[in-house]
Amino acid sequence: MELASSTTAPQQSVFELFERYDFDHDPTFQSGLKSIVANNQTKSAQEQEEAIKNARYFYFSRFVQNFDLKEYQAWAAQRSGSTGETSTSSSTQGQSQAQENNEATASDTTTSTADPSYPKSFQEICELIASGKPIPGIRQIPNNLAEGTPSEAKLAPKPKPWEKKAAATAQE
Amino acid sequence: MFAKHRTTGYNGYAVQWSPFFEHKLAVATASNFGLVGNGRLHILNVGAGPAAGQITVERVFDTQDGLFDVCWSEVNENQLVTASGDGSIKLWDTTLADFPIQNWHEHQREVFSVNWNLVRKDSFLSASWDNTIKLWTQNSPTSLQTFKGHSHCVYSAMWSPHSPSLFASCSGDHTVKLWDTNSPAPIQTILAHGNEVLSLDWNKYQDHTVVTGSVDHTIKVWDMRRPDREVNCLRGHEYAVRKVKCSPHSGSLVASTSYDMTMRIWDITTGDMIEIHDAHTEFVLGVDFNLYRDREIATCAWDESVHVFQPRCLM
Repeated sequence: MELASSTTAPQQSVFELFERYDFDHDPTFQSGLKSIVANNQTKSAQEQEEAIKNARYFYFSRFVQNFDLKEYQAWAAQRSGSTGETSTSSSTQGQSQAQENNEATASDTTTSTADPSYPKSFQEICELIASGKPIPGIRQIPNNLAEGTPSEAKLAPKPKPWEKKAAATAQE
Repeated sequence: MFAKHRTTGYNGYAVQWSPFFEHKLAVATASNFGLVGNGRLHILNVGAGPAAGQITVERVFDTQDGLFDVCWSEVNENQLVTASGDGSIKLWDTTLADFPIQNWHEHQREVFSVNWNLVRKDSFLSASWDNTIKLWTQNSPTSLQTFKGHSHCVYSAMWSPHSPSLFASCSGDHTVKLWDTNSPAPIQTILAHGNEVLSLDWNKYQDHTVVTGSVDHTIKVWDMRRPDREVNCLRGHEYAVRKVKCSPHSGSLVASTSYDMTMRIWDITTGDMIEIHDAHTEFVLGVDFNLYRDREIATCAWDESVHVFQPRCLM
């Protein structure tokens, strides 16, 4: 019992930290949230809520502390089941699964040829570009040519495998 | 043997083994998936024998814009050319640090492929999203010729391994075109796929055979003398085929990469898929057969890693 609680304790503290995290007063998160809200304007209220939830998870796990979403959902569902806490968290897992199903059918009907799933940060960069925000980490490389004398070729071209085989066949 | 090298912060676009040194591998990469930001050319040394599995960095070159392709010079063992997202083409000398020795900027949009002439070895081709193909020599300040005919992005232009002047190109207009540098217009046009054709390569052992890969998920084998119908259609990839490469060692082997995150090897004589490499965790873009270690293959992917290994089917 002690073992079990000691191994899960750090994870649990991350989950609790995540739940208590003040997203409303985090300016970085809030600026990103605007574009997410804007991009989901045409979606249903439920889908919008899900997009915000995903954004919270993505932001927190990337910039504050990394954790596994599925483990968190299981933990939240179990906790709410045992304490009978809020109705929203008690249905977290089932709800997100239902939504995944909804999303799957929706994308099947809207796109004739299924698109491959782009990595998450790819979407992020697309959103930054679309919203005209600066992309972090781009360096200015001078448009110079190298100083010094380019090398002279010292080696004769090496026959390619197919050239060697053709030469061998020709000799036979 | 399975060696892995991280290109941290840079997503892989293309790999090519040196035509002079069996241990040298060039990798073209772009940050932010090539959407925006810098590029980096990596010159890697891949160990063999007791050092098998060890990859060391010989040099890296940074560029303002993402790099989409790279090809080694066929005449100077230290030089290579890169294709940039900003439309520029740069010639690099691995004996000189930091900057290229030549920089051409004629294409109006992204340059997606560069390919050195395999027979005369005096020139190279570039293919661009500005719908054109250009012919260059390393000593000329401007391109020698511009080939117009495609009505959409040209994704690749590849020299025939058997002719000094013949090359083939593939495009977003769904066609493959055959060209001769002595003529400004294409000498053959094949409506090759039902979608964009992202890659093509020449069979090294059959003069007229070209292999194509498309967004329609398929790979097709063509006899360029019979444009009406493909010789074979290879199905298996679950998403767009990004690159096809014919083996330098066998006329029946073709490697392909795809947005389905796999590299596959096919026997084009039977049409069978004989290998799946699924160790990458994002889109696989680049693949090349080592010319002189005949069982070695390199791949690069958007997961910021380069893999060098011996596929089971080649053991």
